[in-house]
Amino acid sequence: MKRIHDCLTMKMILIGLVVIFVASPVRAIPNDPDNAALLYYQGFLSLAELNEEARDHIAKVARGETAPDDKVRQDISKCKGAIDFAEAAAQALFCNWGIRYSQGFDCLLPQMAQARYLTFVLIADARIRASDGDYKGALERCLMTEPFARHVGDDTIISYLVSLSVRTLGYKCMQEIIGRASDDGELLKWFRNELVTSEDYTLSAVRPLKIEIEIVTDLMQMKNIEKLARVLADSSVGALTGSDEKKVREIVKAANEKTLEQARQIYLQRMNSAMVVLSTPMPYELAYARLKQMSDNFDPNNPAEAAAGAFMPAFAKIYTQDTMRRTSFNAIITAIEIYISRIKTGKLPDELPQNLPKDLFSGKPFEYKKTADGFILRCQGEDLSDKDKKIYEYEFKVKK
Amino acid sequence: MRPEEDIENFVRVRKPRVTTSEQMDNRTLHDSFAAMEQTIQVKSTKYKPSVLRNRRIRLVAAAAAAIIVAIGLFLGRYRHTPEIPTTEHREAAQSETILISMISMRMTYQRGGFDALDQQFRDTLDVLGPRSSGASMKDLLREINGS
Repeated sequence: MKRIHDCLTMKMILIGLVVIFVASPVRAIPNDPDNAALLYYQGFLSLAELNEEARDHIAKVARGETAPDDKVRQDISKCKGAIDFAEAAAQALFCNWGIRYSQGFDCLLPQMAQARYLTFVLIADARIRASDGDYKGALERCLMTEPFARHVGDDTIISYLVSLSVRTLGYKCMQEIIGRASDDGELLKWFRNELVTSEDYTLSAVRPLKIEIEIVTDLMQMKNIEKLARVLADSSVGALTGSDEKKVREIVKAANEKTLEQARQIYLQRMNSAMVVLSTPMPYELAYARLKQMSDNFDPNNPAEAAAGAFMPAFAKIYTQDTMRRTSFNAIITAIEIYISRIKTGKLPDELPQNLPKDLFSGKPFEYKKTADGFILRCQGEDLSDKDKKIYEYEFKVKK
Repeated sequence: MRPEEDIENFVRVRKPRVTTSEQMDNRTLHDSFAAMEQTIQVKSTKYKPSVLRNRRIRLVAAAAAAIIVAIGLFLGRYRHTPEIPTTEHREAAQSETILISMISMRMTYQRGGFDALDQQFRDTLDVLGPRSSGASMKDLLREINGS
Protein backbone atom coordinates (compact mmCIF):
# COMPACT_ATOMS: atom_id res chain seq x y z
CA MET A 1 0.00 0.00 0.00
CA LYS A 2 2.84 2.33 0.97
CA ARG A 3 4.65 1.47 -2.30
CA ILE A 4 1.58 2.39 -4.33
CA HIS A 5 1.34 5.66 -2.41
CA ASP A 6 5.02 6.46 -3.05
CA CYS A 7 4.64 5.65 -6.72
CA LEU A 8 1.63 7.99 -6.99
CA THR A 9 3.55 10.74 -5.22
CA MET A 10 6.46 10.35 -7.61
CA LYS A 11 4.10 10.54 -10.58
CA MET A 12 2.46 13.69 -9.21
CA ILE A 13 5.85 15.30 -8.70
CA LEU A 14 6.91 14.42 -12.23
CA ILE A 15 3.69 15.79 -13.73
CA GLY A 16 4.11 18.92 -11.64
CA LEU A 17 7.65 19.41 -12.93
CA VAL A 18 6.54 18.96 -16.54
CA VAL A 19 3.70 21.47 -16.06
CA ILE A 20 6.06 23.98 -14.44
CA PHE A 21 8.54 23.57 -17.32
CA VAL A 22 5.91 23.98 -20.02
CA ALA A 23 4.16 26.90 -18.34
CA SER A 24 7.39 28.63 -17.39
CA PRO A 25 7.43 32.19 -18.72
CA VAL A 26 11.19 32.04 -19.29
CA ARG A 27 11.66 30.17 -22.56
CA ALA A 28 14.95 29.65 -24.27
CA ILE A 29 13.63 30.59 -27.73
CA PRO A 30 11.68 33.84 -28.03
CA ASN A 31 8.41 33.79 -29.96
CA ASP A 32 8.20 34.67 -33.65
CA PRO A 33 6.84 38.16 -34.39
CA ASP A 34 3.07 38.50 -34.04
CA ASN A 35 3.05 41.56 -36.32
CA ALA A 36 2.75 40.27 -39.89
CA ALA A 37 4.37 43.44 -41.29
CA LEU A 38 7.70 42.52 -39.69
CA LEU A 39 7.63 39.22 -41.55
CA TYR A 40 6.59 40.85 -44.82
CA TYR A 41 9.39 43.40 -44.53
CA GLN A 42 11.85 40.52 -44.15
CA GLY A 43 10.15 38.86 -47.10
CA PHE A 44 10.65 42.01 -49.19
CA LEU A 45 14.34 42.00 -48.28
CA SER A 46 14.56 38.39 -49.39
CA LEU A 47 12.97 38.95 -52.79
CA ALA A 48 15.41 38.22 -55.57
CA GLU A 49 17.08 41.34 -56.94
CA LEU A 50 16.03 40.92 -60.54
CA ASN A 51 16.22 43.35 -63.42
CA GLU A 52 13.16 44.99 -64.91
CA GLU A 53 12.87 42.41 -67.69
CA ALA A 54 12.90 39.48 -65.26
CA ARG A 55 10.36 41.16 -62.96
CA ASP A 56 8.09 41.91 -65.91
CA HIS A 57 8.36 38.30 -66.98
CA ILE A 58 7.24 37.15 -63.51
CA ALA A 59 4.32 39.62 -63.72
CA LYS A 60 3.31 38.25 -67.13
CA VAL A 61 3.37 34.68 -65.84
CA ALA A 62 1.33 35.77 -62.80
CA ARG A 63 -1.26 37.41 -65.04
CA GLY A 64 -1.42 34.30 -67.20
CA GLU A 65 -0.16 36.14 -70.27
CA THR A 66 2.66 33.63 -70.72
CA ALA A 67 3.29 30.08 -69.52
CA PRO A 68 5.93 29.42 -66.84
CA ASP A 69 9.32 28.68 -68.40
CA ASP A 70 12.71 27.68 -66.99
CA LYS A 71 13.73 31.29 -66.46
CA VAL A 72 10.73 32.11 -64.31
CA ARG A 73 11.13 28.87 -62.37
CA GLN A 74 14.74 29.83 -61.65
CA ASP A 75 13.80 33.37 -60.60
CA ILE A 76 10.94 32.22 -58.39
CA SER A 77 13.23 29.68 -56.71
CA LYS A 78 15.46 32.63 -55.78
CA CYS A 79 12.45 34.16 -54.01
CA LYS A 80 11.86 31.10 -51.81
CA GLY A 81 12.92 32.98 -48.68
CA ALA A 82 10.38 35.70 -49.43
CA ILE A 83 7.61 33.15 -49.99
CA ASP A 84 8.48 31.46 -46.68
CA PHE A 85 8.18 34.79 -44.88
CA ALA A 86 4.82 35.46 -46.59
CA GLU A 87 3.57 32.02 -45.50
CA ALA A 88 4.56 32.75 -41.91
CA ALA A 89 3.00 36.22 -42.09
CA ALA A 90 -0.27 34.76 -43.36
CA GLN A 91 -0.67 33.07 -39.96
CA ALA A 92 -0.35 36.33 -38.03
CA LEU A 93 -3.59 37.96 -36.97
CA PHE A 94 -2.58 41.59 -37.03
CA CYS A 95 -0.41 43.72 -39.23
CA ASN A 96 1.01 47.16 -38.48
CA TRP A 97 3.18 48.61 -41.25
CA GLY A 98 4.32 51.50 -39.09
CA ILE A 99 3.02 54.21 -41.40
CA ARG A 100 4.03 57.70 -40.25
CA TYR A 101 0.64 59.38 -40.35
CA SER A 102 2.19 62.45 -38.69
CA GLN A 103 3.80 63.24 -42.04
CA GLY A 104 0.40 63.62 -43.69
CA PHE A 105 0.50 63.27 -47.46
CA ASP A 106 4.30 63.39 -47.36
CA CYS A 107 4.48 60.04 -45.60
CA LEU A 108 6.41 57.43 -47.56
CA LEU A 109 4.95 54.05 -48.48
CA PRO A 110 7.91 52.10 -49.87
CA GLN A 111 6.24 48.81 -48.93
CA MET A 112 3.52 49.21 -51.58
CA ALA A 113 5.77 48.58 -54.58
CA GLN A 114 7.32 45.63 -52.75
CA ALA A 115 3.89 44.23 -51.86
CA ARG A 116 2.92 44.36 -55.51
CA TYR A 117 6.13 42.53 -56.48
CA LEU A 118 5.55 39.88 -53.81
CA THR A 119 2.00 39.37 -55.15
CA PHE A 120 3.38 38.60 -58.61
CA VAL A 121 5.90 36.19 -57.08
CA LEU A 122 3.20 34.33 -55.11
CA ILE A 123 0.86 34.05 -58.08
CA ALA A 124 3.66 33.07 -60.49
CA ASP A 125 4.57 30.34 -58.00
CA ALA A 126 0.92 29.19 -58.02
CA ARG A 127 1.01 28.99 -61.82
CA ILE A 128 4.24 26.99 -61.74
CA ARG A 129 2.64 24.53 -59.31
CA ALA A 130 -0.41 24.26 -61.55
CA SER A 131 1.70 23.63 -64.63
CA ASP A 132 3.40 20.82 -62.67
CA GLY A 133 -0.01 19.28 -61.98
CA ASP A 134 -0.08 20.27 -58.30
CA TYR A 135 -3.52 21.91 -58.40
CA LYS A 136 -4.12 21.80 -54.67
CA GLY A 137 -0.74 23.41 -53.99
CA ALA A 138 -1.49 26.04 -56.63
CA LEU A 139 -4.89 26.84 -55.13
CA GLU A 140 -3.38 27.00 -51.65
CA ARG A 141 -0.91 29.55 -52.95
CA CYS A 142 -3.80 31.56 -54.49
CA LEU A 143 -5.64 31.44 -51.17
CA MET A 144 -2.62 33.08 -49.57
CA THR A 145 -3.61 36.28 -51.34
CA GLU A 146 -6.53 36.65 -48.92
CA PRO A 147 -4.50 37.11 -45.71
CA PHE A 148 -1.92 39.07 -47.70
CA ALA A 149 -4.59 41.44 -49.07
CA ARG A 150 -6.08 41.80 -45.59
CA HIS A 151 -2.65 42.61 -44.19
CA VAL A 152 -1.84 45.12 -46.93
CA GLY A 153 -4.92 46.67 -45.43
CA ASP A 154 -6.86 49.88 -45.69
CA ASP A 155 -4.64 52.24 -43.74
CA THR A 156 -4.45 54.57 -46.74
CA ILE A 157 -6.32 54.71 -50.04
CA ILE A 158 -3.19 53.41 -51.77
CA SER A 159 -3.01 50.45 -49.35
CA TYR A 160 -6.67 49.73 -50.04
CA LEU A 161 -6.15 49.82 -53.83
CA VAL A 162 -3.11 47.54 -53.62
CA SER A 163 -5.08 45.20 -51.38
CA LEU A 164 -7.88 45.03 -53.96
CA SER A 165 -5.39 44.34 -56.74
CA VAL A 166 -3.77 41.51 -54.75
CA ARG A 167 -7.12 39.81 -54.37
CA THR A 168 -8.18 40.39 -58.00
CA LEU A 169 -4.94 38.87 -59.31
CA GLY A 170 -5.52 35.87 -57.03
CA TYR A 171 -9.00 35.34 -58.51
CA LYS A 172 -7.66 35.53 -62.05
CA CYS A 173 -5.25 32.71 -61.29
CA MET A 174 -7.93 30.65 -59.50
CA GLN A 175 -10.15 31.00 -62.57
CA GLU A 176 -7.61 29.14 -64.69
CA ILE A 177 -6.59 26.52 -62.13
CA ILE A 178 -10.11 25.35 -61.27
CA GLY A 179 -10.63 24.70 -64.98
CA ARG A 180 -7.65 22.35 -65.02
CA ALA A 181 -8.92 20.60 -61.89
CA SER A 182 -12.55 20.62 -63.08
CA ASP A 183 -12.91 16.82 -62.89
CA ASP A 184 -11.79 16.61 -59.25
CA GLY A 185 -15.00 17.02 -57.24
CA GLU A 186 -13.32 16.62 -53.85
CA LEU A 187 -10.74 19.27 -54.63
CA LEU A 188 -13.41 21.66 -55.92
CA LYS A 189 -15.56 21.20 -52.80
CA TRP A 190 -12.57 21.71 -50.54
CA PHE A 191 -11.60 24.82 -52.48
CA ARG A 192 -15.14 26.26 -52.44
CA ASN A 193 -15.26 25.95 -48.65
CA GLU A 194 -11.81 27.48 -48.23
CA LEU A 195 -12.67 30.34 -50.57
CA VAL A 196 -15.97 31.16 -48.91
CA THR A 197 -14.30 31.09 -45.48
CA SER A 198 -11.40 33.23 -46.68
CA GLU A 199 -13.70 35.82 -48.25
CA ASP A 200 -14.17 37.50 -44.91
CA TYR A 201 -12.97 40.69 -46.50
CA THR A 202 -13.70 43.41 -44.00
CA LEU A 203 -11.60 46.10 -45.62
CA SER A 204 -13.40 49.14 -46.97
CA ALA A 205 -12.67 52.49 -48.51
CA VAL A 206 -14.37 54.23 -45.59
CA ARG A 207 -11.51 53.82 -43.11
CA PRO A 208 -8.82 55.42 -45.31
CA LEU A 209 -11.26 58.23 -46.15
CA LYS A 210 -11.72 58.97 -42.45
CA ILE A 211 -7.94 59.13 -42.03
CA GLU A 212 -7.67 61.42 -45.07
CA ILE A 213 -10.26 63.78 -43.58
CA GLU A 214 -8.02 64.23 -40.54
CA ILE A 215 -4.95 64.86 -42.71
CA VAL A 216 -6.65 67.28 -45.10
CA THR A 217 -8.55 69.35 -42.53
CA ASP A 218 -5.30 69.81 -40.63
CA LEU A 219 -3.51 70.81 -43.81
CA MET A 220 -6.19 73.37 -44.74
CA GLN A 221 -5.13 75.76 -41.99
CA MET A 222 -3.24 79.03 -42.33
CA LYS A 223 -0.43 77.63 -40.16
CA ASN A 224 0.20 75.02 -42.86
CA ILE A 225 -0.34 77.30 -45.85
CA GLU A 226 3.15 76.73 -47.34
CA LYS A 227 2.67 72.97 -47.31
CA LEU A 228 -0.90 73.23 -48.60
CA ALA A 229 0.16 75.56 -51.42
CA ARG A 230 2.86 73.13 -52.46
CA VAL A 231 0.40 70.22 -52.63
CA LEU A 232 -2.10 72.34 -54.58
CA ALA A 233 0.59 73.52 -57.00
CA ASP A 234 1.83 69.93 -57.43
CA SER A 235 -1.68 68.62 -58.03
CA SER A 236 -2.13 71.03 -60.93
CA VAL A 237 1.10 70.07 -62.69
CA GLY A 238 1.74 66.53 -61.46
CA ALA A 239 3.73 65.65 -58.34
CA LEU A 240 6.56 63.98 -60.21
CA THR A 241 7.43 67.09 -62.16
CA GLY A 242 8.04 69.11 -59.00
CA SER A 243 6.51 72.28 -57.61
CA ASP A 244 6.02 75.41 -59.61
CA GLU A 245 7.47 77.98 -57.19
CA LYS A 246 5.62 80.85 -58.82
CA LYS A 247 2.31 79.08 -58.38
CA VAL A 248 3.13 78.23 -54.76
CA ARG A 249 3.82 81.92 -54.05
CA GLU A 250 0.56 82.95 -55.73
CA ILE A 251 -1.48 80.49 -53.64
CA VAL A 252 0.21 81.59 -50.40
CA LYS A 253 -0.44 85.26 -51.25
CA ALA A 254 -4.11 84.70 -52.11
CA ALA A 255 -4.91 82.42 -49.14
CA ASN A 256 -6.85 83.60 -46.13
CA GLU A 257 -8.64 82.02 -43.21
CA LYS A 258 -12.11 82.58 -44.71
CA THR A 259 -11.28 80.78 -47.97
CA LEU A 260 -9.72 77.89 -46.11
CA GLU A 261 -12.74 77.58 -43.84
CA GLN A 262 -14.97 77.40 -46.91
CA ALA A 263 -12.68 74.80 -48.49
CA ARG A 264 -12.84 72.67 -45.34
CA GLN A 265 -16.65 72.85 -45.31
CA ILE A 266 -16.97 71.81 -48.97
CA TYR A 267 -14.41 69.04 -48.54
CA LEU A 268 -16.07 67.63 -45.40
CA GLN A 269 -19.55 67.74 -46.91
CA ARG A 270 -18.46 65.82 -50.01
CA MET A 271 -16.34 63.30 -48.12
CA ASN A 272 -19.12 62.54 -45.64
CA SER A 273 -21.64 62.07 -48.45
CA ALA A 274 -19.25 59.74 -50.27
CA MET A 275 -18.74 57.65 -47.14
CA VAL A 276 -22.51 57.26 -46.77
CA VAL A 277 -22.76 55.98 -50.37
CA LEU A 278 -19.80 53.63 -49.92
CA SER A 279 -21.24 52.07 -46.78
CA THR A 280 -24.83 51.75 -48.08
CA PRO A 281 -25.72 48.79 -50.32
CA MET A 282 -27.06 50.12 -53.61
CA PRO A 283 -26.87 49.23 -57.32
CA TYR A 284 -23.47 49.85 -58.92
CA GLU A 285 -24.84 52.26 -61.49
CA LEU A 286 -26.53 54.45 -58.89
CA ALA A 287 -23.58 54.43 -56.50
CA TYR A 288 -21.20 55.20 -59.35
CA ALA A 289 -23.26 58.20 -60.50
CA ARG A 290 -23.48 59.64 -56.99
CA LEU A 291 -19.78 59.12 -56.29
CA LYS A 292 -18.81 60.67 -59.58
CA GLN A 293 -20.91 63.71 -58.73
CA MET A 294 -19.08 64.07 -55.42
CA SER A 295 -15.58 63.90 -56.81
CA ASP A 296 -16.27 66.11 -59.84
CA ASN A 297 -17.99 69.45 -60.51
CA PHE A 298 -15.67 71.81 -58.67
CA ASP A 299 -15.43 75.36 -59.96
CA PRO A 300 -11.72 75.91 -60.75
CA ASN A 301 -12.20 79.67 -60.50
CA ASN A 302 -13.48 79.46 -56.95
CA PRO A 303 -10.37 79.10 -54.71
CA ALA A 304 -12.24 77.26 -51.94
CA GLU A 305 -13.81 74.77 -54.34
CA ALA A 306 -10.54 74.29 -56.24
CA ALA A 307 -8.72 73.56 -52.97
CA ALA A 308 -11.38 71.06 -51.84
CA GLY A 309 -11.47 69.42 -55.26
CA ALA A 310 -7.72 68.85 -55.30
CA PHE A 311 -8.03 66.49 -52.32
CA MET A 312 -11.12 64.62 -53.46
CA PRO A 313 -10.29 60.95 -54.09
CA ALA A 314 -11.51 59.25 -57.27
CA PHE A 315 -14.40 57.63 -55.36
CA ALA A 316 -16.12 56.17 -58.41
CA LYS A 317 -12.95 54.56 -59.73
CA ILE A 318 -12.14 53.06 -56.32
CA TYR A 319 -15.71 51.79 -55.98
CA THR A 320 -15.50 50.19 -59.43
CA GLN A 321 -12.30 48.38 -58.49
CA ASP A 322 -14.01 46.91 -55.42
CA THR A 323 -17.07 45.95 -57.51
CA MET A 324 -14.75 44.15 -59.91
CA ARG A 325 -13.11 42.24 -57.04
CA ARG A 326 -16.45 41.13 -55.63
CA THR A 327 -17.79 40.21 -59.07
CA SER A 328 -14.68 38.08 -59.76
CA PHE A 329 -15.30 36.23 -56.50
CA ASN A 330 -18.93 35.61 -57.47
CA ALA A 331 -17.86 34.33 -60.89
CA ILE A 332 -15.45 31.81 -59.29
CA ILE A 333 -18.12 30.50 -56.91
CA THR A 334 -20.60 30.23 -59.80
CA ALA A 335 -18.06 28.35 -61.93
CA ILE A 336 -17.32 25.87 -59.11
CA GLU A 337 -21.04 25.09 -58.86
CA ILE A 338 -21.20 24.54 -62.63
CA TYR A 339 -18.16 22.21 -62.49
CA ILE A 340 -19.68 20.23 -59.60
CA SER A 341 -22.97 19.94 -61.50
CA ARG A 342 -21.00 18.65 -64.52
CA ILE A 343 -19.28 15.99 -62.38
CA LYS A 344 -22.71 14.88 -61.07
CA THR A 345 -24.52 14.84 -64.43
CA GLY A 346 -21.63 14.16 -66.79
CA LYS A 347 -22.26 17.33 -68.83
CA LEU A 348 -22.32 21.08 -68.46
CA PRO A 349 -25.76 22.41 -67.49
CA ASP A 350 -27.72 24.03 -70.29
CA GLU A 351 -28.77 26.88 -68.04
CA LEU A 352 -27.23 28.59 -65.08
CA PRO A 353 -28.32 26.92 -61.81
CA GLN A 354 -30.56 29.02 -59.53
CA ASN A 355 -29.52 31.02 -56.46
CA LEU A 356 -25.95 31.64 -57.47
CA PRO A 357 -24.04 34.86 -56.75
CA LYS A 358 -24.62 37.71 -59.20
CA ASP A 359 -22.73 40.05 -61.43
CA LEU A 360 -22.47 43.14 -59.23
CA PHE A 361 -22.14 45.57 -62.13
CA SER A 362 -25.76 44.87 -63.04
CA GLY A 363 -27.11 43.17 -59.93
CA LYS A 364 -28.32 40.37 -62.23
CA PRO A 365 -27.13 36.76 -62.69
CA PHE A 366 -24.18 36.25 -65.01
CA GLU A 367 -24.97 35.48 -68.62
CA TYR A 368 -23.98 31.87 -69.12
CA LYS A 369 -22.73 30.63 -72.44
CA LYS A 370 -21.25 27.23 -73.28
CA THR A 371 -18.19 27.21 -75.54
CA ALA A 372 -16.20 24.52 -77.36
CA ASP A 373 -13.83 24.03 -74.43
CA GLY A 374 -15.87 25.19 -71.47
CA PHE A 375 -18.14 28.14 -70.66
CA ILE A 376 -18.19 31.89 -70.22
CA LEU A 377 -19.79 33.93 -67.46
CA ARG A 378 -20.53 37.40 -68.77
CA CYS A 379 -21.49 40.47 -66.78
CA GLN A 380 -24.63 42.29 -67.80
CA GLY A 381 -23.50 45.67 -66.53
CA GLU A 382 -20.72 47.91 -67.84
CA ASP A 383 -17.62 49.16 -66.08
CA LEU A 384 -18.62 52.83 -66.01
CA SER A 385 -15.11 53.98 -65.10
CA ASP A 386 -13.73 52.52 -68.33
CA LYS A 387 -13.71 54.90 -71.28
CA ASP A 388 -14.95 52.11 -73.58
CA LYS A 389 -17.56 50.99 -71.01
CA LYS A 390 -16.08 47.53 -70.89
CA ILE A 391 -18.24 44.52 -70.06
CA TYR A 392 -16.29 41.84 -68.20
CA GLU A 393 -16.51 38.18 -69.04
CA TYR A 394 -14.89 35.25 -67.29
CA GLU A 395 -13.81 32.30 -69.37
CA PHE A 396 -13.64 28.89 -67.74
CA LYS A 397 -12.24 25.81 -69.41
CA VAL A 398 -13.26 22.23 -68.78
CA LYS A 399 -10.81 19.37 -68.50
CA LYS A 400 -11.60 16.93 -71.28
CA MET B 1 79.90 62.77 -5.16
CA ARG B 2 78.94 64.54 -8.32
CA PRO B 3 79.84 68.30 -8.79
CA GLU B 4 76.21 69.49 -8.57
CA GLU B 5 75.80 67.57 -5.29
CA ASP B 6 79.04 69.19 -3.99
CA ILE B 7 77.60 72.60 -4.67
CA GLU B 8 74.29 71.73 -3.03
CA ASN B 9 76.16 70.43 0.03
CA PHE B 10 78.32 73.49 0.14
CA VAL B 11 75.32 75.80 0.01
CA ARG B 12 73.39 73.83 2.63
CA VAL B 13 76.24 73.23 5.15
CA ARG B 14 78.55 76.23 4.83
CA LYS B 15 75.84 78.79 4.12
CA PRO B 16 78.31 81.10 2.24
CA ARG B 17 78.30 84.81 2.68
CA VAL B 18 79.47 86.42 -0.56
CA THR B 19 79.68 90.12 -1.26
CA THR B 20 78.91 90.81 -4.90
CA SER B 21 80.38 93.50 -7.11
CA GLU B 22 80.35 94.47 -10.84
CA GLN B 23 83.72 92.79 -11.37
CA MET B 24 82.58 89.64 -9.74
CA ASP B 25 79.35 89.56 -11.77
CA ASN B 26 81.35 89.90 -14.99
CA ARG B 27 83.75 87.14 -13.95
CA THR B 28 80.84 84.86 -12.99
CA LEU B 29 79.16 85.49 -16.30
CA HIS B 30 82.39 84.86 -18.22
CA ASP B 31 83.03 81.62 -16.30
CA SER B 32 79.46 80.48 -16.92
CA PHE B 33 79.74 81.01 -20.67
CA ALA B 34 83.08 79.21 -20.75
CA ALA B 35 81.61 76.26 -18.80
CA MET B 36 78.58 76.13 -21.04
CA GLU B 37 80.69 76.12 -24.18
CA GLN B 38 82.81 73.30 -22.78
CA THR B 39 79.73 71.30 -21.84
CA ILE B 40 78.28 71.63 -25.34
CA GLN B 41 81.50 70.43 -26.92
CA VAL B 42 81.70 67.44 -24.57
CA LYS B 43 78.02 66.53 -25.16
CA SER B 44 78.39 66.74 -28.95
CA THR B 45 81.20 64.18 -28.87
CA LYS B 46 79.52 62.04 -26.24
CA TYR B 47 76.09 61.74 -28.04
CA LYS B 48 77.17 61.28 -31.63
CA PRO B 49 75.46 57.86 -32.15
CA SER B 50 72.24 59.32 -30.71
CA VAL B 51 72.27 62.03 -33.40
CA LEU B 52 72.66 59.36 -36.05
CA ARG B 53 69.68 57.46 -34.62
CA ASN B 54 67.57 60.64 -34.66
CA ARG B 55 68.37 61.04 -38.31
CA ARG B 56 67.14 57.55 -39.04
CA ILE B 57 64.00 58.22 -37.08
CA ARG B 58 63.52 61.47 -38.96
CA LEU B 59 63.98 59.69 -42.27
CA VAL B 60 61.49 56.98 -41.35
CA ALA B 61 59.03 59.59 -40.08
CA ALA B 62 59.42 61.64 -43.26
CA ALA B 63 58.86 58.57 -45.44
CA ALA B 64 55.79 57.59 -43.41
CA ALA B 65 54.38 61.10 -43.67
CA ALA B 66 54.95 61.09 -47.42
CA ILE B 67 53.14 57.74 -47.72
CA ILE B 68 50.24 58.95 -45.54
CA VAL B 69 49.90 62.15 -47.58
CA ALA B 70 50.02 60.13 -50.82
CA ILE B 71 47.35 57.68 -49.58
CA GLY B 72 45.27 60.58 -48.32
CA LEU B 73 45.46 62.33 -51.68
CA PHE B 74 44.67 59.06 -53.51
CA LEU B 75 41.64 58.29 -51.36
CA GLY B 76 40.54 61.89 -51.31
CA ARG B 77 40.37 61.87 -55.08
CA TYR B 78 37.82 59.03 -55.03
CA ARG B 79 36.01 59.90 -51.84
CA HIS B 80 35.49 63.50 -52.70
CA THR B 81 32.36 62.97 -54.84
CA PRO B 82 30.13 60.97 -52.46
CA GLU B 83 31.04 63.13 -49.47
CA ILE B 84 29.74 66.25 -51.12
CA PRO B 85 26.45 65.40 -52.88
CA THR B 86 26.13 67.04 -56.24
CA THR B 87 22.92 68.58 -57.52
CA GLU B 88 22.31 65.43 -59.56
CA HIS B 89 22.55 63.24 -56.46
CA ARG B 90 20.21 65.47 -54.53
CA GLU B 91 17.71 65.53 -57.37
CA ALA B 92 17.86 61.73 -57.72
CA ALA B 93 17.30 61.25 -53.99
CA GLN B 94 14.40 63.68 -54.13
CA SER B 95 12.76 61.92 -57.08
CA GLU B 96 13.17 58.53 -55.33
CA THR B 97 11.40 59.96 -52.30
CA ILE B 98 8.66 61.46 -54.46
CA LEU B 99 8.05 58.06 -56.08
CA ILE B 100 7.12 56.48 -52.77
CA SER B 101 5.26 59.37 -51.15
CA MET B 102 1.57 58.97 -50.51
CA ILE B 103 0.68 62.19 -52.32
CA SER B 104 2.44 61.23 -55.54
CA MET B 105 0.87 57.75 -55.56
CA ARG B 106 -2.52 59.29 -54.96
CA MET B 107 -2.11 61.78 -57.79
CA THR B 108 -0.85 59.08 -60.12
CA TYR B 109 -3.96 57.02 -59.44
CA GLN B 110 -6.24 60.02 -59.88
CA ARG B 111 -4.71 60.73 -63.26
CA GLY B 112 -4.12 57.30 -64.74
CA GLY B 113 -5.92 54.73 -62.60
CA PHE B 114 -4.35 51.56 -61.27
CA ASP B 115 -2.28 50.91 -64.42
CA ALA B 116 -0.43 54.18 -63.91
CA LEU B 117 0.05 53.38 -60.24
CA ASP B 118 1.38 49.96 -61.18
CA GLN B 119 3.90 51.62 -63.50
CA GLN B 120 5.01 53.84 -60.62
CA PHE B 121 5.55 50.74 -58.48
CA ARG B 122 7.69 49.26 -61.26
CA ASP B 123 9.72 52.48 -61.44
CA THR B 124 10.13 52.38 -57.67
CA LEU B 125 11.56 48.87 -57.84
CA ASP B 126 13.93 50.01 -60.60
CA VAL B 127 15.23 52.78 -58.39
CA LEU B 128 15.11 51.20 -54.96
CA GLY B 129 14.87 47.48 -55.69
CA PRO B 130 14.48 44.82 -53.05
CA ARG B 131 17.48 45.05 -50.75
CA SER B 132 18.42 41.40 -50.80
CA SER B 133 21.24 40.30 -48.56
CA GLY B 134 21.33 37.09 -50.55
CA ALA B 135 22.60 35.27 -47.48
CA SER B 136 20.81 32.90 -45.17
CA MET B 137 21.67 32.54 -41.49
CA LYS B 138 23.38 29.27 -42.40
CA ASP B 139 25.54 30.99 -45.03
CA LEU B 140 26.47 33.76 -42.62
CA LEU B 141 27.46 31.28 -39.90
CA ARG B 142 29.47 29.28 -42.42
CA GLU B 143 31.31 32.45 -43.41
CA ILE B 144 31.98 33.42 -39.81
CA ASN B 145 33.14 29.95 -38.81
CA GLY B 146 35.21 29.70 -41.95
CA SER B 147 34.07 26.20 -42.78
